Amino acid sequence: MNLRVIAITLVVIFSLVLQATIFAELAHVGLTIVPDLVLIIAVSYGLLKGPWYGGIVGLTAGLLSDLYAGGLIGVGALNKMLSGFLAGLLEKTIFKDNLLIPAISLLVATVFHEFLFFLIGGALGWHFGAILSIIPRIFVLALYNAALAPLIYQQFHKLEIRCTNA
Amino acid sequence: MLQFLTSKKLLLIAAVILLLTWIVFLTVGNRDSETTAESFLKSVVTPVERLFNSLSDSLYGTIQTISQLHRLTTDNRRLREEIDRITIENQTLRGYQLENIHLRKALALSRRLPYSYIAAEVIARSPSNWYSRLQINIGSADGVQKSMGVVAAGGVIGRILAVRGRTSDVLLLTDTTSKIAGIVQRTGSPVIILGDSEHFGYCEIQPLPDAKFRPGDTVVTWESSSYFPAGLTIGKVYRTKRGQGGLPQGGQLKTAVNPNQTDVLFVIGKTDVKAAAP
Repeated sequence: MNLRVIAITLVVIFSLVLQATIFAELAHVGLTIVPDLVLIIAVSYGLLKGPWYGGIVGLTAGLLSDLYAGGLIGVGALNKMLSGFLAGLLEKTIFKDNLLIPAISLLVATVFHEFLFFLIGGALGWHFGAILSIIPRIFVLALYNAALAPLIYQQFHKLEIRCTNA
Repeated sequence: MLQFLTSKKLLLIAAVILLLTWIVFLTVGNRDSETTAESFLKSVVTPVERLFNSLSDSLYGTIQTISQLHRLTTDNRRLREEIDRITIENQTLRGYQLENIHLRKALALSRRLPYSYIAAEVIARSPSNWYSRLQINIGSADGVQKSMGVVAAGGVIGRILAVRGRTSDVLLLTDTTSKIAGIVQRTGSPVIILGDSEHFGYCEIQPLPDAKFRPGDTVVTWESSSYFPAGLTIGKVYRTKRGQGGLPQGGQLKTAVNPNQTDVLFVIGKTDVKAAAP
């Protein structure tokens, strides 16, 4: 196993624990929405390395996320794989040092990811409210993810440069 | 942009999507137990969760203490007065309790069924915004079993979804897949309480035929509930949707306990039927 695989796996697990503890504890101060760090990782990887890497990282990270969350296994993996893959389609057309790109990509990817979850959950008979009721929540989550995206993207960008130079 | 998508690659993507869809269908609905992979992953990360949880607790505790220093002084004075008042009230209640025991004996009434409560601490919350679940620091080694009810100081909070050796997962009332029976205290109408992940801290009320309730009514657990003893507070009716004949067609319930503000909860153990016998 090379450095990249180990680093990504550890970062995904670490992100999940962060989401379940420190970010979830922010609910004490009224912030009930937890950022989706795993989605940020998948999209960042797609932007940096292209659709296949984005898809594979999204699939693996999403699967870990599903196993950890204890709900439906496969939904997160499917959504994150598609999000990472679609973000990766931009890889050849973007300037990778521009930190606005991951922020904007995460705005769009979060909306796509959450609506896909809503559609799959709805098709499986989950009890959701009206689609209009989830829009404000998705909007806040998209902003939250977009704000954190440049920080995470930048670290992966540095890791990729190190892996390439090694 | 899409020229690289050869037919082989497209087939691979389609195969992965089909495989994931198949896994989704395998895991939909109420599963009897976790998969080995889920148990393994959660067991591996539990020590890290505990560490992070204690870190965040002390961090938020410090922030709250600093920001509320003035209020704490006032609260302290008020609470001391309250303790004095409650001590007196407690002495009176003890008298009533003794009187009650004597009266029950005289009337040969059985005592209320005793339930054992196992105290637990929240060590992690759901990492996903679509699920409302908690992870607590007790498991099968402490006597926890699947489907046991979980309560907090204000009332019902959820039930045990999965049990491991030293940790368990709690399915909150607000989770999309949660469904429990309740009864409107004022009218005695039975209702079904469904989770609603979209409005955190709220559930949907699905009334059974001829159910009567209105905003402000308290909903409690039903005696035929599989998870809880009867009479525990679930929450209050927040608003109703009227149907034909003015009867409520549905409504929204505000849960008695806000799971986000709750760090200590209690798992309801098995009923000790022998001890309950008069």
